[in-house]
Amino acid sequence: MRLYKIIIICTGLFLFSCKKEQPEDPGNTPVDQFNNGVLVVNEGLFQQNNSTLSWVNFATETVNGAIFEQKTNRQLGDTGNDIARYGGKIYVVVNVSSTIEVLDAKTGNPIKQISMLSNGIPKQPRFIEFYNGKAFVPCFDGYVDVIDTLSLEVIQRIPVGSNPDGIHKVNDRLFVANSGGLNYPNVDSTLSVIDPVALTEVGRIVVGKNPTRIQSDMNGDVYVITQTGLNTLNTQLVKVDHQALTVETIYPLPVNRMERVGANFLLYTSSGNTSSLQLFDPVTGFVINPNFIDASLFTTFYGAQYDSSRNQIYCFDAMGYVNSGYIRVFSSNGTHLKNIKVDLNPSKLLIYE
Amino acid sequence: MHHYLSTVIFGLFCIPVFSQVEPDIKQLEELEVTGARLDRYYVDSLNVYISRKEIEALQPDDLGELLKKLPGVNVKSYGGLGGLKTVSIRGLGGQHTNFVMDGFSQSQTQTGQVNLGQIQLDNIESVVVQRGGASELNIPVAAQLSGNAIVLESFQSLPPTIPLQQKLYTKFGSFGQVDHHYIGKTGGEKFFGSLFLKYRQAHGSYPFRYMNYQTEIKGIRQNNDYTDISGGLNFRYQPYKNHQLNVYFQHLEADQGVPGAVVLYNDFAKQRLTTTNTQFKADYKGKVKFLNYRFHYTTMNDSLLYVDPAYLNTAGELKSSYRNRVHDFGLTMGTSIRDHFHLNVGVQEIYSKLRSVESLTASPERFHFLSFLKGTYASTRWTAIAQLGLHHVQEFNKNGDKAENRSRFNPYMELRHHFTEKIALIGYYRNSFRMPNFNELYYNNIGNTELEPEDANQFALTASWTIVDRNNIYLGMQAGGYYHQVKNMILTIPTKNLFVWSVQNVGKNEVRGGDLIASFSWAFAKKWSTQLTANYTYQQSLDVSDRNSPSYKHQVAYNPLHVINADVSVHYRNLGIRLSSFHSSERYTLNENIPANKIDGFSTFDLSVFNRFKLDEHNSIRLQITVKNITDESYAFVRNYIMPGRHYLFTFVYAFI
Repeated sequence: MRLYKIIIICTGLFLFSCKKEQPEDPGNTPVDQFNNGVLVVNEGLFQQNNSTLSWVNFATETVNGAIFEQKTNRQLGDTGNDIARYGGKIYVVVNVSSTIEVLDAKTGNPIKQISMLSNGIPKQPRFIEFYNGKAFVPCFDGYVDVIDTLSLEVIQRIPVGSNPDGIHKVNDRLFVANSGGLNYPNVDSTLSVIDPVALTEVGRIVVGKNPTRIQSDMNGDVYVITQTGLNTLNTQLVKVDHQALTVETIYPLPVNRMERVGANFLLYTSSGNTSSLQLFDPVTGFVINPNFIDASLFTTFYGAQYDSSRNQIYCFDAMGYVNSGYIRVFSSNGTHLKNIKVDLNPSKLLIYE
Repeated sequence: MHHYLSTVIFGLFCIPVFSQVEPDIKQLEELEVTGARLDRYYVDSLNVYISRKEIEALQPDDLGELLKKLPGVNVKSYGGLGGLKTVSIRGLGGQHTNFVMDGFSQSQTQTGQVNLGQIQLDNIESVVVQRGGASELNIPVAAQLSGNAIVLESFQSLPPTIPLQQKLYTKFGSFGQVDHHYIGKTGGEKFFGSLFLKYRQAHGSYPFRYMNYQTEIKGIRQNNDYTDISGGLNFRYQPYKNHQLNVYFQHLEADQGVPGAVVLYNDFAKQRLTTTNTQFKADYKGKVKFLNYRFHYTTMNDSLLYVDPAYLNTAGELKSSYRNRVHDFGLTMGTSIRDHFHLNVGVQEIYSKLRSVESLTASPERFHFLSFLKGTYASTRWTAIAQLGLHHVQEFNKNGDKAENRSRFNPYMELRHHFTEKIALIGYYRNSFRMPNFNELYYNNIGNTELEPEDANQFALTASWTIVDRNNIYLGMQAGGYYHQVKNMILTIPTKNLFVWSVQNVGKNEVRGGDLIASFSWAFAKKWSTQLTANYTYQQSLDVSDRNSPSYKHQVAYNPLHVINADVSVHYRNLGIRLSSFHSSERYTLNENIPANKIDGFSTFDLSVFNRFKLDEHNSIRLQITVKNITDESYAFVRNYIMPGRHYLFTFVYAFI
C-alpha cells in the first residue's frame, strides 16, 4: 500500500510538470492615435530582444508598453537607441538589431522597417537627425547613412571617423561625434562636420578623447562630452565655436549627460560617489544652480528631455539598468512632480501635445 | 538475477546507499584498491551519483547535459555542441563548484569556471556530485573546501581487468554530428598504460522556432559549428602493495563558431573561438604504517583565441588571445586513531597566471595556498565530522593595481545518524568562498581589483530511506532541505551606460530549497525488468541585496522554482528502451520578476533504444538510437539561445573488455 502511494505521488509530479505555460495578457489598451502624452523608447538589454516603446497617456495616466507590438504584430528588437519625428513619420533607431522602424506619427501604424545591414554585416545605427527631407544616421561602422524620407531608402553613405555616435544639427551643418569606442585604447577624438546638402564631410575638429553626446546653445555653438585623458573614464565638457570650428573652451565638469532646457543646459555630473544635476548657462559658462534637480531621487540617471509645451522636464531613471525604468517628471524650476513607470532603460521620448 | 538487479540499483543515479559501518574506514581503504572502485560501490548519502550505465542510456553530448538530470543542479546552456554550459548547485554560482577528474582539480583561473560543454563522457565511468564532506585522499584540498565538488572517474584511470581492453565509439547525429573515440589500455596490476583519441565535429546549423510577439518565426542557427580533437596517455606503476604512481598527459584542441543570441532582424554571426588545453598530471599514493598519503602535481596550459572578423573598429577585426597557466601540487594524508577516530590533513598550492596582449594591461599571478584538518568520529550509528580549512591567496600584478591578499578560515561540520540499516539522517554546515577570477579583477575597463571574495554559508539536512529491498524489487528515497546564504556576490553590471560595464560586489542571495529523489526497480518477469527514477527540486533563490530594489526578495534570474526529472526504462535481456524527461518551470531573465522578464517553462523528452550484442566472453557491440526532444519543443535555458528541436543520435560501441 505504501509503495502504491509513492508511485502515485511520483506519477502526479510527472504529470504536473507537463502542464504548458500560458502566455500572459499584457493588459495594454490599444491606442488609435497618439495624443497628449509621450512615446518612450526603452533600450532593453543587449541580446535580449526586449527593447520596447511605451505610450504614456497623460489624460488617462496609463502606460501601454506593448504599443509597438500591437501596431506591428512583432517586437521592436534589440537595443533601441533613438526615436525622432520628421513630418508625418516616426523613426525608431534600433542599434543591435540594426534596423530603423518607420511608423506613422499619428497612429503608430507601421510604414517600413529599414534594414541597416551592409553586405550582411550590421552597421549598428545609433541616432538620427534630419535636414531638408533627409535623415542622417551615424552608424558604428564609420559612416553616416543618408535616408530619403520619402522613399525610405539609404541613398548615400558618408564616411566619417570611427564609431560615430552623437549627431546634432546647427543651422546648415551637422556635427557628428566620432567616438572610436571600439578602438580602445586608441579612441577617436574628433567631430565630423557634414554638409547636409552636398552630403559630404567638410571638416573635422579635434575635441578630445572619445566624444559622445553633442548639444548646442542659443548662439549655435556646439558642446560635446569627451574624456579627460586616455586611461580614464572622467569626462569634461568642450565648447566648439560653430563658425571658426575650433575648440573655444573646456569646462572641467565631469559631465555624463546634457540636455537643453530653454536657453540653459541640464548637466548630469558624476565623480566618484558624488553626482548632481546642475543647471548650466552655456553662454556665460557658469553653473546657475549646482543642485537644480535632486539627484538622490535617481537610482541611475539616464538622460532627460525638456517639454517646452508643458514646461516640464522628463528625466530617465534606468534603475541600475536591470529593473523597470522610470520617467521622473519635474517642473521647469526643478520641482519633482511625479514618476511614471515604463520598461527597461528608457532613454528617449517623443512629445505629443 | 540478483547480481543483475544489484547492478541496476547501483546504476540508478541519485540513489543513496548507506555504508553500514564506519564509512571513513572504507574510504581510506579505497586507496588500497587497485580494481574498479565502482565494483565496490559506495556513496555516502549526501552525494548523488551517476553510473556508466546511466551515461550510456542517456547519451548526453557532454557533462552539462548530464548534470541537468540531477536534483539541485541548475545548468545554464547556451546551446550547441561544445557550446558554453555552466552549472550552479543548490543556488551557489558555478565558481563555487570544483571539478575533479581522476583526483585532479580542473583549475581555470581566467574565468573560474569549466566549460561543461567540452567535457565528454564516453570515457567516464562515474560522476559524483559531492555536497558534503569527503574523506578520500583522492579529493584535492581545493575540492574539499569548495562549496560543491563534481568528481569524475575515467575508464583509462582504472586498471585493465584483462591484458588488453579496448573501446571504440562511433556516433552520427543530426546537424552533421560525427564523433569517434578510441580508448585502449593494457598491462596488469603492477603496470598498465592507456591511450585515448577523440575526434568530433558538427556543423551545428539546426533549425529552430521562436515567437516574435504572436508570430512564430523559423530560423537556422548560424555559425554554430564545432570541431575538436583530443588525446591522452596514462600510466600507472605499482612498485609494491599500497603504493602507486600515476602519470597522465592529455591535449585538446577545439575550434568553434560563436553563434551568440538569436537577435531579431540580424542573424549575422562570424565570431570564432579556438581553445587548446594541455595537462600533465601525476600523483603518488602510498602508505607508511598507519598513514595513507597522496602527493599530486598538475600543470595545465589553457589558451584561448577569440576572433571577430567583422568588428567595427578601424582594423575591421578584433582578436583577443589569452594564456592561462596553472601549477598545482598538494599532499593529502589520512590515518585512523584507534577504532572510531580518523584524521585527515591536506595542503595544496595553486599557482596561476594569465596573459593577454590585447585585453589585459595587467599581468596577474596568484599563489593560492589551501590546507585543511579534519577529524571524523564514526561508530556504527553515528558519524561526526569537523573540519577547518585555511586559504591564503597572494596576488601579484606587474602592470598596475593588484587585488588584496586574502586569508580565510572555512569551517565544516557534519553529523550523521543511521537509525536503522535503511534509514539515515545527515546534516551539515559549510562555510566557503570563491576568489574573484582574473577576468573579474583585471579585464581592461571592466575588471575591479577592489573586489571582495564571494562568501557562502550552507546548511543542509538530508534523509535517506530504503523502503523496499528484496530480491526482485527495490524502492529508495532521499529527501533533502537546505538553506544557503551567498554574500558579496560578484556581478558584472552596466555602470555608466549600457556599453560601459564593471564588475562589482553587489549581490546577496538567500536560497531555500529541497529535493526529493525516488528510485524504483522491479524485475517483474524472467529476463524482464523496469526502472523508474524521478527527482524533484524546489529552489527559492531570492535576491536580498537591497530592500529598496524592485527585485528585493524576487527569484534570482535563471533559477527555476521547480525542476523535475523523470525517467522510465524497460529491459529485456540486453535490449532496453528508455524515456527520459526533464521539466523546468518558468524562469526570469533578470532578478525583477515581471512578465517582460519571464521565459516559459518547458519539458523535453528523450527516447532511446539500445541493445548489447555479446560476441564472446570479452567482445561486444552496443547499438543505440536516441531521439532527443521528441516533442520538438522550442525552448531555451538562456533567453534567445534557442535549443535544438527534435534530433537524432546513432551510437555504435565496440568493446573488448
